[in-house]
Amino acid sequence: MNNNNNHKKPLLSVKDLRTYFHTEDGIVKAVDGVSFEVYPGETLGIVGESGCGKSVTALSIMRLLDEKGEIAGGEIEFDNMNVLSIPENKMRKLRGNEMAMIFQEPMTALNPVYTVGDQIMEAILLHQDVNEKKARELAVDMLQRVGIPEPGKRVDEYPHELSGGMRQRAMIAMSLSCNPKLLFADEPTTALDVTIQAQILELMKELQNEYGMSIIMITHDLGVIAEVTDRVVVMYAGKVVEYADVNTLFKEPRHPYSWGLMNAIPRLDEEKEKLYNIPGIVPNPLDFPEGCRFSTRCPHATDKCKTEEPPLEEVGEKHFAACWHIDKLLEEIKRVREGESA
Amino acid sequence: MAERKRKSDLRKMMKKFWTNPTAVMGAILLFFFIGVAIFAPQIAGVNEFGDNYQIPRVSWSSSPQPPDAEHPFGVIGGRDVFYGVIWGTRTAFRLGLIVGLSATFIGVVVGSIAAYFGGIIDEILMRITDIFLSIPFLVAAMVLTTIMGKGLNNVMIALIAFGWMSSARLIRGNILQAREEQYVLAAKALGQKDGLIIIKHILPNTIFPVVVQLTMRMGNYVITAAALSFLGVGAEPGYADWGTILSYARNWMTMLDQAWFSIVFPGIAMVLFVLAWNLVGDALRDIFDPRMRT
Repeated sequence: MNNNNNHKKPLLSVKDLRTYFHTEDGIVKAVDGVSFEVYPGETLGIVGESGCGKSVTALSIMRLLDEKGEIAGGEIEFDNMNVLSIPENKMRKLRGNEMAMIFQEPMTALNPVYTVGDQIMEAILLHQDVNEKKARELAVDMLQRVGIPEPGKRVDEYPHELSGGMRQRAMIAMSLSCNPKLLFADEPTTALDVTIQAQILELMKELQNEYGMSIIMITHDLGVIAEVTDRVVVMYAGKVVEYADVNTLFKEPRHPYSWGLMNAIPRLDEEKEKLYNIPGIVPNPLDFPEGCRFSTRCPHATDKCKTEEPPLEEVGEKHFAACWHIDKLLEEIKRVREGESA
Repeated sequence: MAERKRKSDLRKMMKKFWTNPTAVMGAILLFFFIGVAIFAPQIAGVNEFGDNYQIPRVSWSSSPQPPDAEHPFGVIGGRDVFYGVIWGTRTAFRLGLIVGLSATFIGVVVGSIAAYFGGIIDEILMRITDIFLSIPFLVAAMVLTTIMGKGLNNVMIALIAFGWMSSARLIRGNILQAREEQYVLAAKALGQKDGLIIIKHILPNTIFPVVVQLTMRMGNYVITAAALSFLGVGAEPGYADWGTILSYARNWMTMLDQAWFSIVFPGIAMVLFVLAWNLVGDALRDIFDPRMRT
């Protein structure tokens, strides 16, 4: 949507963010030196397997970590403010008002003892100077906008009376009720079935056009990334391994992990005995391998990868990747793509 | 419209309550006791010589008089047992409600602070709870009333001081569970304050077991207070309290055939009172449980 960001100042800029969890078994470096920017009105995707630090990155930016988590380093600048030095009471005013979040499980993210309307009104009353009657009108209006039929009736229903898709719409209504500048969407469609997924993504795009907020879309689904994002951060084991424009990423992946993720998507036009998967599992966060963290699973890994960590380097225009052996990857990609076209 | 919705929910819950036979029995018993408490002056008369909660002396003879037309539950220690049992109902309600609500309130505050903030605060509060729990309840209450002196108010203070721990533990456990729910994180992400998150989001999802526990224990407080009175560290002699009447029978323990009525009548009252609360508590547990509300 928004490829011309050269002259704009980013709404959010994260530099070298490090979030550590102090557990009984040791320190878990869930996010370890992550940097990216989000420009006004764009959608940034953060993609990666479970446990690679996507959600923790979002929670760190909103400063919602539990007592075990600690932001050990880095800078977060949001709307010309240094998020890490804002006192907690001001931070609370930012949450919900300037930055909001929608969650994966709409059933558990809505409180079962309150009506949907109550919960949207809670958000409105917290940040806007309106009375309850007006807040209620706004809540009904919000439900209407997220495409809930009969909003005047639904506003008084409890979460368990709504379907999964309706709940996620209500959740979106709640998070957008104060017109935030930045919306975190933490796997918003994972718990929904495919047809509903498409509707929710469509809705989010529409709302983005209408309200002009930026979205950080956290997902493990490259399909979602391809559909709604402008730029993408690929995360692996707490680090950014590739950072690119969405089209560039799909056309010219420059990290074996990104390439592996793409290959793992099943395709309808191929006959395969077995679906591809990246060998191995995400390494234990208590004991990340030295050097490149992907080296334990990478088909191109050499001794260098196992000892020296590759830096995130510019490999093309606004395209960054952290890999020692991009040449080997390029050969593989060429081989596979030629094989396909032949 | 929201109001109307809530009212219809309430009606649904009431309907569930009234179709449950144990609930109905408990409620009838409870209403019976409430009726007796309210109409105590009409049923048993008033003390013309002073405080209504003092059982009037009807005889200066120390030997018990079995029930007769004038004193339907008999006379013991010169006191009319009927008057004591009827006015004792008021005492029982007062004691049960004040002790139950205060102890539960303290427990809920302590438990929710401990659970929500966790860490060192949790550790300190829960160790204090453990210390209180490690002291035998009856002994502690006896020591406290001995120090502070006799009287119903001191009994209540003692019961509250040593009766809040189980609700603290119960609510803490429930909150620890609820705290992990996403709607708590969602409320934080909306910018809600910690205190309001506890009150608005966590407590409504965790308070029902505590309410049920409170109801179930309401009767037990009355029994414990009676035990204290029986042991001579409870209400003053002559006070209209079931336990006090029981304590008059202490001197006649070897000749119970002469004093049976001073045990049987307050005893029946206590058993039915505890039964009433337990039945209602059982029914509330079934009805309140949000997971069973569909």
